Amino acid sequence: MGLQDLIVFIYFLLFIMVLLWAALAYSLIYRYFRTKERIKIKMKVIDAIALRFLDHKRATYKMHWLRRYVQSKRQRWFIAGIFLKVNNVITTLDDTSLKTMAADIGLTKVLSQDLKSLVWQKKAKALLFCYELGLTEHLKTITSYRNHSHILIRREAQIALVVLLGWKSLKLFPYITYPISLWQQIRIIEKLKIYHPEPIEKFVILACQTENPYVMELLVRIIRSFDLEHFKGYSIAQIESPELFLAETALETLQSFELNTLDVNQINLSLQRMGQSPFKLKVDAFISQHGNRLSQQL
Amino acid sequence: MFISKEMIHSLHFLIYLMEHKKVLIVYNDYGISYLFKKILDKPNVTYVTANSFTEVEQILLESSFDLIITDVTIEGAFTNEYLYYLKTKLPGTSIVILSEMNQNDIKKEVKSLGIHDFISLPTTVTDLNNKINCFF
Repeated sequence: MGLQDLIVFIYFLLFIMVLLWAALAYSLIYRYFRTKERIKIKMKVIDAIALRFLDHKRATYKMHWLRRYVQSKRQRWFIAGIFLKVNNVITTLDDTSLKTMAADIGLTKVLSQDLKSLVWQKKAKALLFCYELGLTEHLKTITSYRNHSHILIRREAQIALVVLLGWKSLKLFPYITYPISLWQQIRIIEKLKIYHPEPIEKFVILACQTENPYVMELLVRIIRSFDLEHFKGYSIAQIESPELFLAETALETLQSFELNTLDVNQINLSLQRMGQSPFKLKVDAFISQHGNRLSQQL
Repeated sequence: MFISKEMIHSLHFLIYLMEHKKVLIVYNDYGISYLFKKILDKPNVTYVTANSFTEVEQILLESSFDLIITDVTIEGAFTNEYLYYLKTKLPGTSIVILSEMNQNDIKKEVKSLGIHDFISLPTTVTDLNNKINCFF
């Protein structure tokens, strides 16, 4: 490589460096102004929300600027995010509610369109917005997403169904064919506890028709969390399951219930049918523990 | 007895100072602390907002408050450390916790530090106003 080539190469590297620095400077300046603009918008939106909470009749006439922000694709989700944050700290009556305000400014309409978007992020965000603000009018669309091939869409759709329909949503769970992660199961149970703490057993019975071991595991966890003693038999039946995670969860659930002689006998029958495995030893230990307790009681 | 205009003014100022209250609102999200400020707005109360532990430290160095409304957790400090700091720094000041983290364990922990007012979020505007107005 001659000296001339070396100089050209150095100039090329310098050019690349200048380009990188320029991109960095642009990004910093852009982010600085965007943050500044967003703080300003956030304060304005919070002002409008506070006015709505305190004097909603006066507030409805002053929201044209907010409608413009909602129409802008760049700001739409930022505004929706503010609504969701406020919704987590303040609950309101119908007249002054954030749900009505979101409908007034056109946010609900725009996000409903996102619910049918082909982009999964938009769809998942719209689902989140629907259940956080309690938009029941989109239940038909949400129901169709409960078994969606994209994990984030079906996760949000399942949560949305639980929040919006409560225990009734469980009857839709047998149609789920995909796995449900432990974290998702915990989220579903949490939502049931927060929004619908009173269990409705007829929907649990309908959900029991599922053949998906993950939905079965969810049901067993629900039985334990809500202390549904009538469904003890369902948990006992799962002990024989070929899916170890389901059998172990069922055994854990049974530990939280008082078992009678009939229950112990049923578990004993399952135990006899099981092949030799570490799990069988666990069940055996569990049975002997309960057998001793029962004989002491007798 | 002659009472000058200046005396009347200073008397008014004194009454104003006696009636005037200062409240510090601490919440991680500046939008939410601003929302609380707007909702709780009253003519004889000044609200100051802070969104991190560093800000709280700075504000408490400069002025004192009659009431502190705060979240359990705040950016820049552990829950216990932060609440203990508030209790020791302002022993006579009332502290109200406003938090989305309303599990019993957290409530017990807060109580053990000597803070008895815990408002679980979400709450209604009326409830929030009623509970905070008790302190004035």
